[in-house]
Amino acid sequence: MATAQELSNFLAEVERRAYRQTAYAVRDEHAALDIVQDAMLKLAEKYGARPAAEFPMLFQRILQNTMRDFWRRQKVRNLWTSLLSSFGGHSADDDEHDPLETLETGQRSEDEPEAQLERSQTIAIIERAIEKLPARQREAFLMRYWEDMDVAETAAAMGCSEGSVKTHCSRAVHALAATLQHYGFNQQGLKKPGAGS
Amino acid sequence: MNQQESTVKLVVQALDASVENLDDDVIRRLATARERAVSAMQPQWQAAGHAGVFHSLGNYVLHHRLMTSAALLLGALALGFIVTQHVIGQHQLEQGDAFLLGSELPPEAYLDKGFDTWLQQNAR
Repeated sequence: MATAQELSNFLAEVERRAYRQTAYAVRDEHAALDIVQDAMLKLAEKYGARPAAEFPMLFQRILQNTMRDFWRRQKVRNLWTSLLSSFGGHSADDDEHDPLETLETGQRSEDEPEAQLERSQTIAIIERAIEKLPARQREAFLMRYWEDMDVAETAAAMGCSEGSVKTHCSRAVHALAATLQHYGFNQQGLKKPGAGS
Repeated sequence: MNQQESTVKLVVQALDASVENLDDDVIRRLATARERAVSAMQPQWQAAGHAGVFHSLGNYVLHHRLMTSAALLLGALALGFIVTQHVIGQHQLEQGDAFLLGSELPPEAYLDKGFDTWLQQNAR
């Protein structure tokens, strides 16, 4: 059985990644915070007595289910709001904004504000590529490579076979590689070719 | 390092960097959510320590109302069946005793297996 301290340590370790992961999926930072908070509570209330070693898989499973609940609610809500908002002045520019358009290149030092800006823009491009992945591919990729879960754990958390996890991961990596190549990134770090050292 | 590995490395590097640059407000809210979750775990631990089996049973009943109702109904049916069988059996015994006592033959005659054979032979 896990102690409260073990639970706290586990949550402290994963909470930020869980938040980012959820934000990529739901594309709403407030909703992402609520979802992560719900997932934390569910883990503590329902599975707090489980061994700490089971927490990563359980938490991911809860997080995915909580996201699905959110999407279900959103689907129902959108059904009603779309009828009312069809006359609204929603700008397509918000969705179509491409960080590459504002990406600046040049020879700069890592510490310079321009270099930091460039780095943050590069991160934004990669985050955008992650967001564009199909949901299952994104889930598999993030759990497998970012959360460092093995194939069996990822499969258990996603509720699918290990073969499906491998397929999702492979497709995600190919899609990301294609996106990065399209934007002209080299494979050595977070810099575009021709960017500063 | 092949292209796939380097893509994974590059993306994970960017994701790690994105986590490092979270807003202070988000970090604070995540910490608050964590503390709330950990405190939600506490009553469960205290309950397990103090109330033990009875509290666990109470929780089980609370969370499995349908199962508990079905089990209680089945138990009541089983108890009713046993009581009915017991009463019927007792009644049959009383009838058997009355038959034996009211019979012209002594009870020992019914226990003697040779008596049936003798009765059949004489009946012909």
